[in-house]
Amino acid sequence: MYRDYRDKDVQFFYVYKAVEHPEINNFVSPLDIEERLKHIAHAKDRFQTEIPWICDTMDNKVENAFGGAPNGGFILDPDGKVVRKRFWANPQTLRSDLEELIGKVENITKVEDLPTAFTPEPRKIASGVVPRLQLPGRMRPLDIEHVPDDDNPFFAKLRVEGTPRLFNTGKGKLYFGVYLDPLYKVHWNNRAGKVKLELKTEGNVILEQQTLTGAEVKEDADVDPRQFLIEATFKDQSAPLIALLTYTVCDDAETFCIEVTQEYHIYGRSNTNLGTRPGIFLNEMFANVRDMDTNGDGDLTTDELPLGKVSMYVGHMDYNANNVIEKSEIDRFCKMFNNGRGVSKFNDGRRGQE
Amino acid sequence: MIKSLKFLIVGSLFFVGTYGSAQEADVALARFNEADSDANGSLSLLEFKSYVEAKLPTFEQFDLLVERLDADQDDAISPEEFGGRRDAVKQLIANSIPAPMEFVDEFNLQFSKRKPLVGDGIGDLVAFDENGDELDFASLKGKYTVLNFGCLT
Repeated sequence: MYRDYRDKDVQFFYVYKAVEHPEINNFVSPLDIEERLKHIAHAKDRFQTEIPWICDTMDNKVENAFGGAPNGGFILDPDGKVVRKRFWANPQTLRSDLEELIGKVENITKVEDLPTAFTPEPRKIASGVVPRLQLPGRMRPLDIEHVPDDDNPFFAKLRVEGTPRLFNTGKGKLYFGVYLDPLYKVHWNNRAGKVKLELKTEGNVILEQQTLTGAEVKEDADVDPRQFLIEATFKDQSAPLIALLTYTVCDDAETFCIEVTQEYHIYGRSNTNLGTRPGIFLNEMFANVRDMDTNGDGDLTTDELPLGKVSMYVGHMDYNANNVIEKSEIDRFCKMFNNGRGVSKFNDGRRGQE
Repeated sequence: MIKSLKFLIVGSLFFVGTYGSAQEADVALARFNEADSDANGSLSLLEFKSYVEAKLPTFEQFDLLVERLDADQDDAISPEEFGGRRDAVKQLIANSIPAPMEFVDEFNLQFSKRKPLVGDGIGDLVAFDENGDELDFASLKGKYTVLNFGCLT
């Protein structure tokens, strides 16, 4: 579309806004504009796109000014007025809109004419070795501020969520997730100690525990998140709960290892700009898909699939619709789902290019 | 999102109420039986969850459905909460779930009423270009501009 219309007085921009579903493909929410620009650079490289990007402000002024559609699509006329708006942009509608506004194009660019999306090499660091917590449904992120660290980037990032009851009554479950930021290409150094989270409160929050320590991990290194779930009561939602996160990471190229302590201020109010984690069923359901092949013949038959999930598995994975998920389909699916570590929205990488 | 769920449930009820027939009742029963994996004549929360997860196009919609059922907001759906809406749930399942594009159409309809409306200007708005330099949206005037929102996830 960009190639078809760029010479017809039409300019195209991707608008990069807050991460909508942190954890997908292990991405976590950037803490500042510099980190969000790193996301853009990564996306630009990965999808090999020539389309320029606009980086939204950290409080998502642009997304909010355009009605708060996370996957929205808009066309502005030369006077800057909205002439088309879509809650969910899609290529067919956009092409139809442009044909109405500008005119049809004779030789439409085909997907095969576009550069192939870059697929990053899988990392060799262990993952899937720390069991994930079963978290309550419908948790929402709490407002959180990081205290800038002049010496080190935030290699690992803290995400805090509460159950609806916590926001409604002040008392509920509080989830702390500590996630490595994949853009820094670092891993936990488990020989140097466990991830530790110390919580400090001046009486404004009652906590089940004030010091949280990550699980014992057999592997020397891994990239799994560290998760904690405790009961909490916020007496005052405007007073911060202070969290000190201490961890040791090494870069994948083994050029450095470092222990850092970084500080966050957590408030007992919801922050909708921080997105929602993907439903646990998608990521966990497919995490051990290869292990379901109980007879080891390489294929999955419906009797090997978990009860109640059969139609979902078959619907997602049985590409040739023969009711057997063959080895090639498992391989294809695992690749698409980042080997079970997360759902790839962009699938084969071409989605963003049309 | 709540509105979309309302649309979904109300739409389902409307369909049954207006166009209900013996054939549709058979389809409804077949779908209910499909969800009732232990064939005991009622849907447990697990059966309901498994079936709806399999039918709903996105996980957010399942969360919304749970939110709707969880009347006392205690993060669990009691038999009373589930049972109190059993007919609606049965009809919801029976009529299947609208295809993703139907959801998109509904979202587009709701979104079309939200500002900025077609014909509105954007006003003063400043963000950043991909190099981190300030970008004033006023500078985009002079050409048609296509804006596509998104992120890596």
